[in-house]
Amino acid sequence: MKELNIAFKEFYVAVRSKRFIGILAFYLFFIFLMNYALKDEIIASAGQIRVFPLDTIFGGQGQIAQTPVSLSIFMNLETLTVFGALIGVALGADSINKEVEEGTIKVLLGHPLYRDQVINGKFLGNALALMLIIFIGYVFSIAYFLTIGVPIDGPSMIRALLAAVFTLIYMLTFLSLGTMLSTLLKKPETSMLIAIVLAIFLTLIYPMMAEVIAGKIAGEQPYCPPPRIKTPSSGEPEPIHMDYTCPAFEEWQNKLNMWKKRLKSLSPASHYSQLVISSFAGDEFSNDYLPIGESLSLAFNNLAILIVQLLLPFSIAYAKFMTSDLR
Amino acid sequence: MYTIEIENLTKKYGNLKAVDGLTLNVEKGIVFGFLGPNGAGKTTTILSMLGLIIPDEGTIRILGHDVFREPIKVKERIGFLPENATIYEELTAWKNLEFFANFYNFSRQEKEKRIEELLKLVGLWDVKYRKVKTFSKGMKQRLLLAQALINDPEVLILDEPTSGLDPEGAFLVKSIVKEERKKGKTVFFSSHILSEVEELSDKVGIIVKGKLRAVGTLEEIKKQFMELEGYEITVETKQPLPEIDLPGIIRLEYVNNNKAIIFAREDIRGEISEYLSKKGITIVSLDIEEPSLEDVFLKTIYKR
Repeated sequence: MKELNIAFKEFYVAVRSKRFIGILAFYLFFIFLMNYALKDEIIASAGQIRVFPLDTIFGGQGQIAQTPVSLSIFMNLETLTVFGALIGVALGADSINKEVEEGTIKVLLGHPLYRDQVINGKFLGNALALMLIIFIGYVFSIAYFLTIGVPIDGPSMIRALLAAVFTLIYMLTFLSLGTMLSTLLKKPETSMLIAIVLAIFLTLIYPMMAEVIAGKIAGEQPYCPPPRIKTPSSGEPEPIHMDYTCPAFEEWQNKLNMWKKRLKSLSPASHYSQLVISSFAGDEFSNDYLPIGESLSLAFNNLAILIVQLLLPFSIAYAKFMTSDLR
Repeated sequence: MYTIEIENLTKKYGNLKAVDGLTLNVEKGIVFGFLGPNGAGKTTTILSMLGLIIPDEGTIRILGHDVFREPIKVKERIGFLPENATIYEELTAWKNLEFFANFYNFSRQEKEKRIEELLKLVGLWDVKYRKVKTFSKGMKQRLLLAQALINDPEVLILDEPTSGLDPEGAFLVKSIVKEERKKGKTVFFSSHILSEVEELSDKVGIIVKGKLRAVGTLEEIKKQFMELEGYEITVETKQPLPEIDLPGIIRLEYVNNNKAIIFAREDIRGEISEYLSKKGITIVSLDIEEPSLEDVFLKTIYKR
């Protein structure tokens, strides 16, 4: 398998690079800090499950079962979403154009290889590097839990593994985006810069923009006149001080939520956060995890869209690389 | 059947024709020097031969296979050294060659033996475990040459192989080219270094502005050139030279009483000798001035 030869070379070079070692060290340090900050909560939640609703800035929402593992993941989710995207684009953003610029692509394609084997091999090699980062992160977290004396239950481990698969797919989406930029732009420095800006925009800025845009589309919050009751003292109807809604408000809120969801669905971060929430979906009646099949069915569409978002930039990268002159 | 057959190759970049209807055939077992100034279309032609550039028109066949339709069949039997390229700098010399060797059907022992042979051949055996990023330009170029030879290719395509090399490195490249020719391999190399082309090539092609201006052995090219540009014959006699009136003479320049340079449309040394003998004049020397490859090259570039 010639692709595997390229993939192993890419992986070998990537994991020995200063960039990779730096990213990994930062990632592990960050995990340690977050887990350390949550140490007391993690210890307190050991051995019990509590189901509560979660709503993320990226658009993911649902009931989750809180265990030490899920607590650690959800407290880190926002940073993981941004960081994962940055690692993905950083690995892909100069994967092709750097080889073209340095001329190594001509040396490589002087050997019996098809161009698709080159791009597939490079993508696979970088995907292996991402898998290694996720794997080391998980092993590190488990080691930390065991060090502080928190037992890890089987169901949480399985769901963490599922979340790890979704994390990989999410990071691959950004790897694919980076690879696309690497084929479209000549200069590796330019593609790297644009890729990083794009990753930050899609994960940090766009969700906030989506909130604002959805608010503008939904319009002003309608006024609901509070219900009045006659009080025995004055005999006059007076407003009751309690939470209340009216049909106009509900309609406005539905519209706002619908637009938020629609707009945020353009960003892979929205689908990723929904997938991670679904991995740890809880049932408030049984106060336990939802069965795994049911959990997955909650986010099947998100998985499908995330895979499309992964394949689309890669297809563009593929088409461009297959047809361009490599001078 | 020719080893390399290029037919009507055309590649445009916007309005500029980098290669313009190039047709060229290279026989088996020869060293073919592809000569041209910078920007003449040499690299575009070579990269098209590897399928790295997709031409607008034309076909290229190497060892009987179309390079665009059967690229793997072609690349399994050729070796390529690109111009201005580097090799994977984060890998060692050994790892680089091992990486490229993995694209061929070598057994482990064959692969290791081949890598050892090549590293010794290019003089990098002692630094085999050093990362390429610590190598000098010449060392990198030698490693690039080694990767081009990894599959013991039948056809070696070299784009400016001695560019940036020190004299020792250039000598090594030239000796490898000569060695490959001895083994019956075909070598196609581009260069703008005339002495190198003259020294190595059995046949030469001169490309200018994307068009092939001349092709053949050095002698054939010089002959073609002389037929176009005229022959330069120097005659020296014992007695003073008379007026020479012979058909085919373009002009005559007297150096002194006994010596003249005759510019003629063809080689008329026989006619001159006969003419002077009839006049009772003893000829001391009668030589034809062979143009150097440099003359041919420069006049091909600038005159046409």
